[in-house]
Amino acid sequence: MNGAVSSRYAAALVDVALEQKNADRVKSDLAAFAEAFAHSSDLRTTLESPAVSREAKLQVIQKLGAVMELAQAVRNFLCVLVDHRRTELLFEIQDHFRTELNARQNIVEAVVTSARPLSADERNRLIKKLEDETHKTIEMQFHEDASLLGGTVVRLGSTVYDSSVRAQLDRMREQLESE
Amino acid sequence: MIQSTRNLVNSIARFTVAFFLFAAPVLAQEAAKPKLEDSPTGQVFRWINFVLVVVILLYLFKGAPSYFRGHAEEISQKIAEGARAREAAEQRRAEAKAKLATIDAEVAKIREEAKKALALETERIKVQAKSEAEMIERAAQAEIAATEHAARLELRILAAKMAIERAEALLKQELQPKVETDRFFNFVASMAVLMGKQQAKN
Repeated sequence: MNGAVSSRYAAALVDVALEQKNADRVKSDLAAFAEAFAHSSDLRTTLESPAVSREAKLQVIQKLGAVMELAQAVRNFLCVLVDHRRTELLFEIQDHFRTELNARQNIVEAVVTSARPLSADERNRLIKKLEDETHKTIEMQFHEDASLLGGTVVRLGSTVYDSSVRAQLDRMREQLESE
Repeated sequence: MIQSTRNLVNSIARFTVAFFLFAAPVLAQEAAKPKLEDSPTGQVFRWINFVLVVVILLYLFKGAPSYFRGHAEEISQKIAEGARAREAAEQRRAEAKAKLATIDAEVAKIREEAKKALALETERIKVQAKSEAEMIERAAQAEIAATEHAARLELRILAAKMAIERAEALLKQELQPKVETDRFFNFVASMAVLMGKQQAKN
């Protein structure tokens, strides 16, 4: 139920962001506010408490928006959430927003984990290869994990491509144990 | 017994009273002087005295026939009871005698039956013991097999762990940056095949 509600709010924000052609900024501002919301219990209490008046909540959002220099679309959206008493859905809405925006902009998120830092050339070749294969824009995050020993793990959406030495050793161990 | 004694005492008492009643006028006649008794008045009193004596005697011995009759019946009943008791005793004695005559055979029979029962019980216990021993042996064998299987599994896991640790140590030495770079580009090159396989799977 909440998922459907969150999805509708996210879709509406995506509409506005694409219409105003500032989707990237809306995305980053929404993420920044969500982070502040997650880390500040005072902010959460203020915006979610029924004891605080609607006007006070809106003032808080406007002041915080000014300090954080949030896009106007994001400020307005947060005010709508306060009006509709849906601030507790902020994190879900943020997830749906990212998914919806990626879908509309033909973007796929990928997470690459490797045992050593990848060079710029390696990164670019990997991105290009993935874009060629998926025919979509790849938005990639890179991580390092020495426990992999060697090789690379690519998570594309919900699919994992694992060429790490650790995974091969694990498979080998399972095979030896089952023989 | 008590009743008989009481009856005897009553009889003696009655006899004593009657004796004195009969004897008293005779003694009185012998002792008296023959004067008044011989007169008509004396005769009258003598008859009155006689009537009184007769009435008293009749009163005293009124219950005597029934008493003797009852006593005789009681005696005959007791004799009959005694005869019956004797017959019963005779019968019991005959039975006991008959039993005694067959007691050896009975004892032998009982002994034989006891022997048979003992043999059967011994056989049953032997069979039961054998069955339980087999069951225990089967359980022990199953436990040994399970323990062996677990030990083999544990050994395999240990061997696999040691082999992997050894392989990991060797790989750490062998995986040079050049090798890693080659592996990375091979992986990138194989992405098309991997993604094709994934799409086919989906």
